[in-house]
Amino acid sequence: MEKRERWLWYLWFIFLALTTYSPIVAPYNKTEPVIFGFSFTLFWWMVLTLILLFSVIVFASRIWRRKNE
Amino acid sequence: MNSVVLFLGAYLLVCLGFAYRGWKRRGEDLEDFFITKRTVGGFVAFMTFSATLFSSFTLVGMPGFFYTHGIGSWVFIAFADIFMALMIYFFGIRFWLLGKKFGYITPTEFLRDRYESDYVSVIAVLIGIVFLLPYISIQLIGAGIVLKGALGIPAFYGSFLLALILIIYSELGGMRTVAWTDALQGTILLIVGFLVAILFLREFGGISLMMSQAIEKYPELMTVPGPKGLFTYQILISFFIMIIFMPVTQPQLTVRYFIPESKKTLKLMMMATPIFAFLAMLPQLFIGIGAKIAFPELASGDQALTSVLTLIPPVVGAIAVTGVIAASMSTADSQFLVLSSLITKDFYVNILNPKSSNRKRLKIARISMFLLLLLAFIISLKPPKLIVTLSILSFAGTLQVLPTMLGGLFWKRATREGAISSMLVGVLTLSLFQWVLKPPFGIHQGIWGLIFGSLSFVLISLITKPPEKKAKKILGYLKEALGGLENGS
Repeated sequence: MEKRERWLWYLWFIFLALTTYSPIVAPYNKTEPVIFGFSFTLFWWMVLTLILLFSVIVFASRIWRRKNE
Repeated sequence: MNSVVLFLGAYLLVCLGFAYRGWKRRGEDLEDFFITKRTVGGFVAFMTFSATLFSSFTLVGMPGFFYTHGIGSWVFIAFADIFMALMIYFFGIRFWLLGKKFGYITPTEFLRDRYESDYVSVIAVLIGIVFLLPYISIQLIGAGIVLKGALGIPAFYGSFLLALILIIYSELGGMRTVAWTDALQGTILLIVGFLVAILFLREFGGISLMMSQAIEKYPELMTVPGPKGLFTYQILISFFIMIIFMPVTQPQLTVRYFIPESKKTLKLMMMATPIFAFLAMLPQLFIGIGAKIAFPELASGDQALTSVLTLIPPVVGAIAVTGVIAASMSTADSQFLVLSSLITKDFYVNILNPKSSNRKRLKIARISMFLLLLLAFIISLKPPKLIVTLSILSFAGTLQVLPTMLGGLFWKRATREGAISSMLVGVLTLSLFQWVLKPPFGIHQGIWGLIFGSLSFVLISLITKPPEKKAKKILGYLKEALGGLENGS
């Protein structure tokens, strides 16, 4: 993986963490609207968690090249 | 009760079967006993890592957290656990490479080598023992509570049964058996979580209807900081930091970086661990929130799971009991195995008796394992009210090794004096804010320990002379090996 791409990934993961935990962007106290039965805060966290999950998988699949395995 | 005995008995017999198989394939040295000579394949390596991470806390403590503190528990644990998988990239590959190159069996051996100091490894080992023994006791307590609810036997006997089976299979097969049983235990944990959650959700008519009821009746559960005000921003961020660094601060996880047979196995660990974390945590959300609706007046959140089990078919309840026992065992066995390795390799072999025979070393390993478990069992006889409290202190305590680990891996100016001071300052600061003063600004005492420990590490390292030989060799090797890895050469 190129150095530049690696740094973009790091920034992306930091961004996801900030989006989840930062009081400014995290909708901590919103029960409305209810989406699929989830309060808005929980729904927001579920979406971010799933994005993080898929990001980690894609990152892992790209970092170490097949040649070295 | 009969079905509990049946499922639990069958599960314990399989564990003993693994023990027999491990005994038949046993080697004659510590490398085989503690890290299976680095030959663990993809599925077992990932499952032993994940099952070690998720203990009975997942099945008993987490529904309790959702029950008591609401949805903040999701980011408190689930998001952080998934994020933690990234650390396999930053630390896992480094430890794996170093272990293969320099023959390390324990993470603290790396510290001894890197800082050229016995004191550094001894202090790190002592921190591990002091803060992990209570964690092992938590697993024994969890098993005792669950068996008391399921079989009506005193908690003491449940804890004793768990300890007995653990010691038998760990003594016989070492890491080989522990890794196999972890794979089984992790699978059971996932199955149990989903079975209980699905059957429980049927009582409400589905997720949507259950969550709607929760929003209507307990809106404070659906926001942070939650009904008791626990999940403030400061606390959520404090725990995020403590959890994501667990694979490098908790030796039972770090040692799992030594066992994979190849880089491909590490890659699989990194890809599969977050999936496991998500699947392990999701059912606990529904069980905890649903329990609040069905049983609003429980004395403690820890009773959420056992209360929910009264509403689902007894056969599934029996499987769930087996699941909790399995989850307790998967963490406890890894913890006392690694603590035994620290005592045997770091104290006995590296300091006290470097010329000892393999036979003698294995004997010391087995005796120390037995004594550690005995001590954990004695601690478990006086259980705390909320079992999670001890577990949380364990994260915070072992976190104080973080600057020493990071400095050892990434900073060539890091010195032994800096490392020793950071661990001592970190633990003292943690103790001060745990038992004497209230932590300022609502930040967790573990993080204060980390802040002061890191400052001390950097300042003392800058004014002392860094170790020349081994540090250069280790960091130089890492740079070269990782450079080749990233560039595909």
